[in-house]
Amino acid sequence: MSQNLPLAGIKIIDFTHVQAGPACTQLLAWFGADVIKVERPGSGDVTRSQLRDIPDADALYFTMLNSNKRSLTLDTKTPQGKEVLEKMIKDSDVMVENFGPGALDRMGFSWARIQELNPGMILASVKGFSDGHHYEDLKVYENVAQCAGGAASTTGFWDGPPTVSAAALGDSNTGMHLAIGILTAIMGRQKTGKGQKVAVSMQDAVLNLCRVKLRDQQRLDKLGFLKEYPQYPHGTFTDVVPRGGNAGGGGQPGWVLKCKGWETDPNAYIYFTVQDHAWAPICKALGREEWIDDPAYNTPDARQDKIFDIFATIEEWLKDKTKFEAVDYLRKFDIPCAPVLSMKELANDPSLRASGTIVEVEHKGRGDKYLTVGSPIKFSDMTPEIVASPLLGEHTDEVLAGLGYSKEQIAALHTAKAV
Amino acid sequence: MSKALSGYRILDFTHVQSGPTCTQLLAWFGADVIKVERAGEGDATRGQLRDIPDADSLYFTMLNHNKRSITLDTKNPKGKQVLETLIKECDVLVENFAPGALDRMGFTWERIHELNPKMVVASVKGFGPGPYEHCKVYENVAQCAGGSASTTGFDDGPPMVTGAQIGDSGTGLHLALGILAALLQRQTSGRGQKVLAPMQDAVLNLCRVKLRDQQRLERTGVMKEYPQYPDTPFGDSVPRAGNASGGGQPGSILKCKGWETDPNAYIYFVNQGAVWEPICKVIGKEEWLTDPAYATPALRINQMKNIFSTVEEWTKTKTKFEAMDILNKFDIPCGPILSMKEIAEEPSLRETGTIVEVDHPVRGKYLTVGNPIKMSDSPTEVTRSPLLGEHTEEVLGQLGYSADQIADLRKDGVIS
Repeated sequence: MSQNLPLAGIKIIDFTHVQAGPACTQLLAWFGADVIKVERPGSGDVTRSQLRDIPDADALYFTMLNSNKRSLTLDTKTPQGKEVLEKMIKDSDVMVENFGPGALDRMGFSWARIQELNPGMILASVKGFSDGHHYEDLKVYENVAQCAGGAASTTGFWDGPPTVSAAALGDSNTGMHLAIGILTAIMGRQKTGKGQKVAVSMQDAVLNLCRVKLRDQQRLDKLGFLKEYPQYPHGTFTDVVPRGGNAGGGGQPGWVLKCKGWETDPNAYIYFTVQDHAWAPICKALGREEWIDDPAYNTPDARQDKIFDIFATIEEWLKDKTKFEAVDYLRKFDIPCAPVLSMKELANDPSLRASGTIVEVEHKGRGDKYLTVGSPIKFSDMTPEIVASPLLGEHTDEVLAGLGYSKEQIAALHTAKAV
Repeated sequence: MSKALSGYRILDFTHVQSGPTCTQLLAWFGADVIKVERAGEGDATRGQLRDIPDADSLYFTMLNHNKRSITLDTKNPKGKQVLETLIKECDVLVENFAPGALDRMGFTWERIHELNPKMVVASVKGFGPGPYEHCKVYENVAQCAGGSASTTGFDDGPPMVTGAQIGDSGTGLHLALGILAALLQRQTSGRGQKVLAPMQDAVLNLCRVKLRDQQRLERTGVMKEYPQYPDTPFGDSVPRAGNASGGGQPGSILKCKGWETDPNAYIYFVNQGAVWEPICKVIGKEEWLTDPAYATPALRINQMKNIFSTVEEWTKTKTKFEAMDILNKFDIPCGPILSMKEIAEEPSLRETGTIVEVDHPVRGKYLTVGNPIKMSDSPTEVTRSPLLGEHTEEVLGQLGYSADQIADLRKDGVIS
């Protein structure tokens, strides 16, 4: 593709595995970086074989998170393996890892050693908790991060348990944060010539998205209630931000409302927002013109203590409309709403295919095409080309040749099981 | 110490949450962010969800650190002139107006590119091109359109939104990523470009593994790690999975001591295969170690509800922190459900700079979430949000306006 991609010329040593790190490096690969995924000989990234749908072929868990990368198998415990890694470090711009605490040091590659080999190297790390945190030794999975980061305590209903989100707040979200850090460090290096360490912890990345909940904690501390939460005015507040169900959360009350077919279709719902300057059109749409000028209804404050009755009236109106019919009608009045789209609907959405957010990818190992989520960020001067994930060790010889190893040396490395 | 993005200047037209999240992060990395606000009220969040009358609300102060604020009437021709000067002097223009608003102001992409061919114009919108591209979108609307709501919650309940602001803050982060990529590309191409982060797409990016599951479901009809398996049939779309872990290791949220009165007396517990033996010992179920029905991870999937409810009998006798301490000794993966109050008071988060106390001339002190991205050579110094129009004169002076010119602008109501 003849376009100057933003990260053309940037070389990345990718030690990450599973989701958070791979989500990050995949995006950087899409932006043009040469991402060399370093995997253990034999098994590689564990996601190649997790949640498999086709026996003996790389799982979607792997293929959807490792597009456009090259795969090198390397045993970093062997002296030859360490030598290969040293050469790679000298030759690369960024190293990304999500090892447990101390693992890189024990491998013989402390930060001091890395800087000695290559002062411009940027070392980017995914952590569970930040360095120095009293849980820093904990193994952190997606949902553990959601629970530690405040998302679970503030998701779900007040009379039900803390609830995890399907969106990967702990994994992919952390990967996106790390990508921002890496690009920032690359730009910083242009001024100073030096690399640096970049780290994001999963707990912090979750908490960053829950910023407004820390806002609400402080408002609650000061006022004792939160007007836009469903607990107000008829329920009670304690001293912690409660779960708000499907409440709107910002300045605009909203809720998830049933549409025609909800009894059998788990996603026959819309999100409906009662935005103040759309109140008159909402009333007209519902056939409740009398509410337009009624002081008991025509301001946000007035509506608050009867907001659930208003939602019930809207739901009554929605009973005979599919979610798409409802949204098409309501949109005419600029009422902020959307259908609850299922994954099946999204997978088949023509607009998302046209924009490249959902992409069909050919994969020789799996035998047919699969869908992936492409780059959600759109550029007018750059279109990433999304190609298949690598087979295990597919580029080992190519990468070694690129580092200057001769055919004989490469054969010797294979014999020594260093690669 | 100089920061990574020192020298970059950002014309910040954003307001509310998604855009400000993006520009705040860039400011933390050293960019000069000039927030352009309407005279009088400025960013609507200054006055929303107020806890202190007549002072900027936390909604504003926690999303607008380290920025400079100028007020400008962009409907006034003289205001448009100031804007043209700003465009020439800045590297990036960021906006999250309703679709078409920037065009109607007279600043189409073509016009901006003409004034400054190197400018990156970065936008948050609700949807990308398609039938909904002109729709107004808020946080939860984005969550519903992006696949998150259909797959969050329990399968005997409605679609659920998440308290994490994936539609707003999540999209802002994606936009920041796009801006940095565009600035890097500019170094070789010599020109700016448009960057768009649609909220639906950003949410979907975070729901990547649900698209994975949709395809697995279509191919095999079941998903063994979902709680529906093996007792309930699957439909044709990825169902809601409650608190299941969604990955290779089964997990769930379990009650701890005090759950009847404390909504966050819970723990996340992962039934990791490698530590099955210590798990059985800790909960006093050694007999499972020799029971053929529990012999392998694949067999245990059929017993998962029973396993979790038995573990819960044990966790219900301990506080979440006591349970964690015991489980950690055996490397059994788990985590406490922390409330926002516990997070606000956690000393470790203060030490790492993830939670920061900031002083404000009108409000007094408040807490904010600092920069989660830690850089060893570009540390973040969180400073307070600006008062409305606090830097108008300073910025105009830097752009070359004289004191007289500034006074005239004020007289004409172009600035306040």
